[in-house]
Amino acid sequence: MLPLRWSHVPGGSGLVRALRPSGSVVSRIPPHLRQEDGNDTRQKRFLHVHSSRNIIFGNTKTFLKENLWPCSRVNRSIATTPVKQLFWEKDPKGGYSSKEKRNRKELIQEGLKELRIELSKWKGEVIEKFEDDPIIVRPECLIGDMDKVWILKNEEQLKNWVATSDKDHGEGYSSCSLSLSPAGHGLFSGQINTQVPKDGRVKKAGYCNMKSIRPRLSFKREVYLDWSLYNHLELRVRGDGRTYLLNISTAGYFDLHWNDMYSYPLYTRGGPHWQVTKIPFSKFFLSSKGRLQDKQCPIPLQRVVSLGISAGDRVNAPFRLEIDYIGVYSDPDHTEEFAYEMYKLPKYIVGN
Amino acid sequence: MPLSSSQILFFSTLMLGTLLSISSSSWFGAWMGLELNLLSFIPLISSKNNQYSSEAALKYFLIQALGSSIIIMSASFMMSSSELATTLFTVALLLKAGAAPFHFWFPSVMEGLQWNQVIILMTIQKIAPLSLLSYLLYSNTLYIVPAAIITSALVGAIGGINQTFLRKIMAYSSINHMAWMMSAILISETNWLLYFSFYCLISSSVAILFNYQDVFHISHIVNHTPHSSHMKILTFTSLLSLGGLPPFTGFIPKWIIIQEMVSSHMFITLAILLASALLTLFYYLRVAMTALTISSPKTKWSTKSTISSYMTPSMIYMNIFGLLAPSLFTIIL
Repeated sequence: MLPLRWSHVPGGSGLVRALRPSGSVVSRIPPHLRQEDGNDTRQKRFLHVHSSRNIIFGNTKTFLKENLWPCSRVNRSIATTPVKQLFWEKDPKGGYSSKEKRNRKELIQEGLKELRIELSKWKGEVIEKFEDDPIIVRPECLIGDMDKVWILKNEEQLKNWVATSDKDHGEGYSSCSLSLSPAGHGLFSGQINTQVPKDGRVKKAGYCNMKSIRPRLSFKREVYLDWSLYNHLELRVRGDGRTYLLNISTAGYFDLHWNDMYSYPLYTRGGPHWQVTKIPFSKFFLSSKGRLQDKQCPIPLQRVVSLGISAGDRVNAPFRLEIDYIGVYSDPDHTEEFAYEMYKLPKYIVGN
Repeated sequence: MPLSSSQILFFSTLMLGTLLSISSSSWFGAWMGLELNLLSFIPLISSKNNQYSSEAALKYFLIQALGSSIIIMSASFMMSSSELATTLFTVALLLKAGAAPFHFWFPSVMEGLQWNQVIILMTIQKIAPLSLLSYLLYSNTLYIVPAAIITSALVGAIGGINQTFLRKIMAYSSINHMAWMMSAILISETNWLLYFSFYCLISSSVAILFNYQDVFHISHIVNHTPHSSHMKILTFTSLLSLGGLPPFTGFIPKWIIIQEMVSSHMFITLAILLASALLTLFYYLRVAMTALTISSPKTKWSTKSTISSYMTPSMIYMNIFGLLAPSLFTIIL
């Protein structure tokens, strides 16, 4: 019933792969791990450093149990990070949250300062609920026209976006920034560096990302962007010829869906002219934590959380993407619901 | 509509569970029927491969499982401390039925379902909890049910005001109608059954109409097919009937309840129910006027070239038979 999400332990070590209990592989367990020597501090430290979740493992048995049960006998050579076959996600941020701990008193004081702002926002929402009317039908001249969701023209608009790279958590050396270009539009630029840091847990490196901040109501309530009336994503960009990846995150209520991402590449032309790219939402494919899912489904447009643009095409060079606006467009003649065929018969057809 | 064999199976166990629940002689039998109901509804709603529909099915399951667990707990100590048990039982039944103040799951779950499943959730899934509520009320001296009536009416009215998604509108209308049904329970069982049967017919007619046009938003109702004049009139009349306007069928159950409540001197509750009915009529009217008057040839949703189903017009024209109201009274009462 529920689509499965195969995930991996972020920053898992190659060591775990070697520990899979298939016959030919047991011999590859390093000798100092096969004997459990409680007095050997080096052994304990080795296990501790390579666990990405900061859980202290006392011995090999716990380590195996935590990471391998139910264990897979297939050694996947394409994926370079180990597969963890549990659906349960501990952390919505997947271990990548900021590690600083704030003082509770400071947090309360800051919250009280924001209370007034939130109350006025809430008042605005209540007034909007009772006084304003929803847009039911667009006037005929505007049908087929587009709504600009994000226009990147000044610093204030740029605050809705966050630019991250693999350097932030020590997984690479790429750098990026989101600023205003000389022409007055948003500029996502930086340098992709494919050099892999030598700490044993990272296998591939070199990505930069810009992501829109999730919309919130008053009192920091998380809501969704609702794009169900539209069927295309439209961007006016001026790129440098490189390919970027558009990621629409539709993080759901349950942890199974926290990492759902619908992606499609954005091909840019380079050159001095602007390009307007319209991508139908039916072309976006589902992935979760970087892994393309077997069971694909069309994007749930009323549960969109954020849009992200990633640069990571394995070329060790600077990149530059200038964005004018990002909008959504409704094409009345576009009837495709989903571009990818699942080749799956309904359940009640006998003999499939 | 073609049903698969598994759907027929689950549908029959759904009905079986409901009947078991309302006809059992002990609270454990009632719980058993409710569980059977829940377990056969879950496969019916989890058949789509969409992310959001599986989320809705999971939310539904968790909420109903919570309600069932509270029911069996209160059924267990119904003998020893019956006041606490009946209070908890009432609370759990309100949660299962989706009445305010335990309604928060209801619009969210409805949003993820298809129209067929919405019909089942609005009609059949309400039979068992409300019947059990009617069995409980003889011993309930607390004010939970009148409080639930007032909050349901207000929530159903105010919650639906700025909604444009049709399933959410139907969810809030269902919450509001549950307020009327619960006040009918307080009066007599015949009244409640009457209101419930009319409500089932009317809301399923509205949902079937929306399903036929394959619409999920108010802006999708505009159409220009050859059948469109029929569809417009039918949508208009069905929605107004749901709102309880006099010449239509939907007015009859409300009229009966109003009369009975006046003779039972429940004036304050009645005033709040009437005010909320007016508010719900406001948002039905918004949808109905859009459906009737606005026509746009350029939207994608207008190109439905399906053969009109044989059931659709017949089920919906019964919204008009409210004009035969006087003859109804001689038959039923």
